[in-house]
Amino acid sequence: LLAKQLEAAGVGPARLAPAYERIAQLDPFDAANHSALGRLKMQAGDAQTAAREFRAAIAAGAIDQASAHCDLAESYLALGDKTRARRAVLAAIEVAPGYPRAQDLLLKVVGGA
Amino acid sequence: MRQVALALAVMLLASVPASADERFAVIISGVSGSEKFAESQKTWSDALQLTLRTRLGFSADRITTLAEGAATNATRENVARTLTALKQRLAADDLLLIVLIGHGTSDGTTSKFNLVGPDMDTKEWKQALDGMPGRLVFVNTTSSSFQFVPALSGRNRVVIAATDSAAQRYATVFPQFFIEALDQSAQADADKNGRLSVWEAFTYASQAVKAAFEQKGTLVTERSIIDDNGDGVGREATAAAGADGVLAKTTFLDPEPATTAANAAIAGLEKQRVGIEAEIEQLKDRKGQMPAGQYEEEFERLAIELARISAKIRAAK
Repeated sequence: LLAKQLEAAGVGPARLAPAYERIAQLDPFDAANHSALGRLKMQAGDAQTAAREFRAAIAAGAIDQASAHCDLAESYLALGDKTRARRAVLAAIEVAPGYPRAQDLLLKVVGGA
Repeated sequence: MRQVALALAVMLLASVPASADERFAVIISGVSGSEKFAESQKTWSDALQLTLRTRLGFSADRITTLAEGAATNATRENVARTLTALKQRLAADDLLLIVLIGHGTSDGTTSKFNLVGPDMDTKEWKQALDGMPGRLVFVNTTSSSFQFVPALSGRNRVVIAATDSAAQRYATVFPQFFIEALDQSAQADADKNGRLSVWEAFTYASQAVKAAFEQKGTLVTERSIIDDNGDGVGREATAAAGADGVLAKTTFLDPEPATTAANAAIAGLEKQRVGIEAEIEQLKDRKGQMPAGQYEEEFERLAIELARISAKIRAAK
């Protein structure tokens, strides 16, 4: 809640990330927090940490599984790991076959786009 | 004044003929019992009305709200009048969403929804809904709501209860997350097909309730259930695939999208897309009966094919 309020108040990623990190320490099972932290890390160019947070979000049972797997695929792609990116994006498509974001990502991974 | 307002609302409901595939909603916010609950019930009821209108495209004149202290009070007489009027107005292929917000009680054999004045028990709700045309989605978000499932279960009906046992008699948080599911439909749309099914809204709310209790570190005092095959036996969202879910997965709360088949080329691609999606679903059904490697190979081939066709459709639109 605090992190959401800070985000709504226009607090920048550099100050938001520590708030999300602290929340992750306090409540490691908050999937939405891991996803939010992962996206901040992606924005900051830290795909390695982003991938860790996205994996944690999936393990914590993120409600939106298709988006969570897409997030993870994008972080792997940013790391240049196409094998893992492919696996993650296929997991997203298995949940949501018609998801345009996952489809576009798959084509990017396999070189069809 | 309130009676006049209700009479006008009922006249309006009864006098305007409905065309096919229309969506109606009745929100009933019962007696609150305290200022704290009155505030949360009003918040949820207002949020649900707004979400139905703005996010899901329900016409304002097809949403009826009965609430404690409102122009149309949540009394059993007003519930009966409203449902009687809707029976005259609904057609066989219309959808009626009924959401109960507030408190419920149970004596172990029957449940009641607490209205302003005398309550209505499950038998009275059944009688009031008997003969209602169209598809009914009945969502009782209150404590002790589980007995509404066997009582109201029937053909062409999806019945959801926030609780699954007599012991779950504490104030629920299910309404908050059910409304959130309707409001945040992009997140709740698990299969990302751009439409929000009743099943997806139910699943989202169920999982969010579970997560909320886990975050608080307290015992889960509500487990929501759904029945849509008419057998009167509810199942949880996380239960292994069972008989329930088929109707709820094909019952959508948002409007039917405009058809895109005007262009013959797009229509052809759409046909291919639907065919591949069906192949994917069949393959997923066989997943447990084939070697993992073979499944992955076949799934990837179909996924790439589907992605290419979908990209062509999006580019052509």
